[in-house]
Amino acid sequence: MSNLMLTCKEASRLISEELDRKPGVAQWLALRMHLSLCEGCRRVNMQLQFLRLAMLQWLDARSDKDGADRN
Amino acid sequence: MDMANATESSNQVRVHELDEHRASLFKFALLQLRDEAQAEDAVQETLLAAMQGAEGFSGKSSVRTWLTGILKHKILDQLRKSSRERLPDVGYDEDCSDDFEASFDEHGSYVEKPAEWGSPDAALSQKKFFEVLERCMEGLPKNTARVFAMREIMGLDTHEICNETGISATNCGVLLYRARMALRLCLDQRWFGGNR
Repeated sequence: MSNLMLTCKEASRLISEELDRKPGVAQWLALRMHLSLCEGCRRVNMQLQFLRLAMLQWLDARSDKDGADRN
Repeated sequence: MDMANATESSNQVRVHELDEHRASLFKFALLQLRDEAQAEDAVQETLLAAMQGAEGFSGKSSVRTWLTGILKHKILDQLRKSSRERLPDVGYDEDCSDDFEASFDEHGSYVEKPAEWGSPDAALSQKKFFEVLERCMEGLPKNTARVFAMREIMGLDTHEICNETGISATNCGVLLYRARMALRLCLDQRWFGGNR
């Protein structure tokens, strides 16, 4: 991370990356620093985590409720 | 091994009962595979496996849950098969317009500050929310949708996805990023926006 301050776009990439693998220390710090200052990116961070949860629940919702969808 | 010995009465799941789930399973498979023939194959194989292994059904979960568990594996088989047939540049061929790119200005800042979603968990108890989510998934480009499904539905890690599809880790990360940002935007517009 050459530049200390991330743009929101860069931050969004890192937010997504953290959902797939553990970040390095520098990357983790850079994102935390950005998030601490940027409410919009904090929201995006939470919303992408929510999306993961929603996908899991979607699977359950589809599989658990027998006959839930009327064909 | 000898399935013929399993008497019908001992099977807790009957063939006609399995067939009732066909349409729902097909829709589930199609959302992830984006290919009708492949989705049909996956469902066919699932029902076949279910018939042969009906005694493996414990009765603890619902029939649908049991079938979905089998289907996930069959979908993965199809994804593997098709990625072998495809060229390794599978990650590049997206006809993506990436609407979410427009949320950023030339400095990489959001043109409009991302909105608050309130307490989104409440949406998870609403059937309508999942219908919207499905429609948003339908809007993803094919390969993006496939990789996203492998990650979030099949639960593969990016290493495994690379191995299965032959796309690079970087590419895989890009596709997952696009999928998430596109779905975030879609949910924002079609669901959470409605609450504002």
